[in-house]
Amino acid sequence: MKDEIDRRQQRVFQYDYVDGTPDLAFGGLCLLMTICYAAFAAFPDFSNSTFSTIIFWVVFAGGGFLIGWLPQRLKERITFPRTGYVAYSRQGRPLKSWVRWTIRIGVPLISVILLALLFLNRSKFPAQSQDTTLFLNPGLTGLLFTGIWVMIGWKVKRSRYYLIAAITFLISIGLLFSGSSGYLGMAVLSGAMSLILFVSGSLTLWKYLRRNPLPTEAADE
Amino acid sequence: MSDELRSLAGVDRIIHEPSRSIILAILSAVESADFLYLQRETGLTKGNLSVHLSKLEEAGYVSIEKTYRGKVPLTLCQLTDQGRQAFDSYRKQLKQFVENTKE
Repeated sequence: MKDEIDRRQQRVFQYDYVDGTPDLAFGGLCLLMTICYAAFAAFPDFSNSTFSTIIFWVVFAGGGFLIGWLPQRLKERITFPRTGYVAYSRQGRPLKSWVRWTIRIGVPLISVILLALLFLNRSKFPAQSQDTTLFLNPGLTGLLFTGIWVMIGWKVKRSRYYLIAAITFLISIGLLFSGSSGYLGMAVLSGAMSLILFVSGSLTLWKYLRRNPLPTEAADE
Repeated sequence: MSDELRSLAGVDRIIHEPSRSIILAILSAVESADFLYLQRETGLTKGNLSVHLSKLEEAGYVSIEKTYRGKVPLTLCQLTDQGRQAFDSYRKQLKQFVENTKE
């Protein structure tokens, strides 16, 4: 019985990933990052300005918010009417509304402020070439994301994340061997990931919609 | 009667029914879930699910809120603190029973 209970609870957790909306949202974030990186690569003078860094982190934090917000809005229209509504809480216990909103607004806001302050005071830190920073090394960043996808795949038991991890790994190896670096390399990596995630999310959503047509009768009892 | 069997006889009968334990297992993993989701996950008919939810509500293990999402009626089910405690205790009892019988 214990196994059956565990299995049921695991299924509840997997339900969040059943429709591909998290893939689409993360693909959206990657697309925003691609646009940022591509703009920085195209306009090097602009990329070195304080303004551009603030824009980058606002986009990054805004994208983080998007990941939380977009799947929920999509689920309200697509998933919940078909297969039911579920509200999650991280520890299985309901969080109070003010706590949820403090986390949603506070964390991105504090991140942006701290990073902007860090950048504005960058002259106090040792200078570093942008190409040699870990942050702008697309090959290593790709390998880091490979690990993240494997972790997600293992956690939610969805094989598509292993496939995404494998493709990300191949792209990372390609970027490492080609010696790509800087904003252009990062634009290639995030662009490729965005494409993979959009394809994965769209296929999953298409499969979900085929399996779960909208009920003709009222959704409730 | 052996101690193991005695401990099993003491489990919460409301929860011990398979359908209700599945409902509680699902609700214990979420903040709330609606009737449609529970029905699909348990495979119960609407009538059966309603009866089980009513029993769990009567026992104070589940709170049921009838609301609307747009114009669609929505029945939201949530595990109460009492229900969570009872379910945790039920799981511990079962686990204890399984461990004892292994020895």
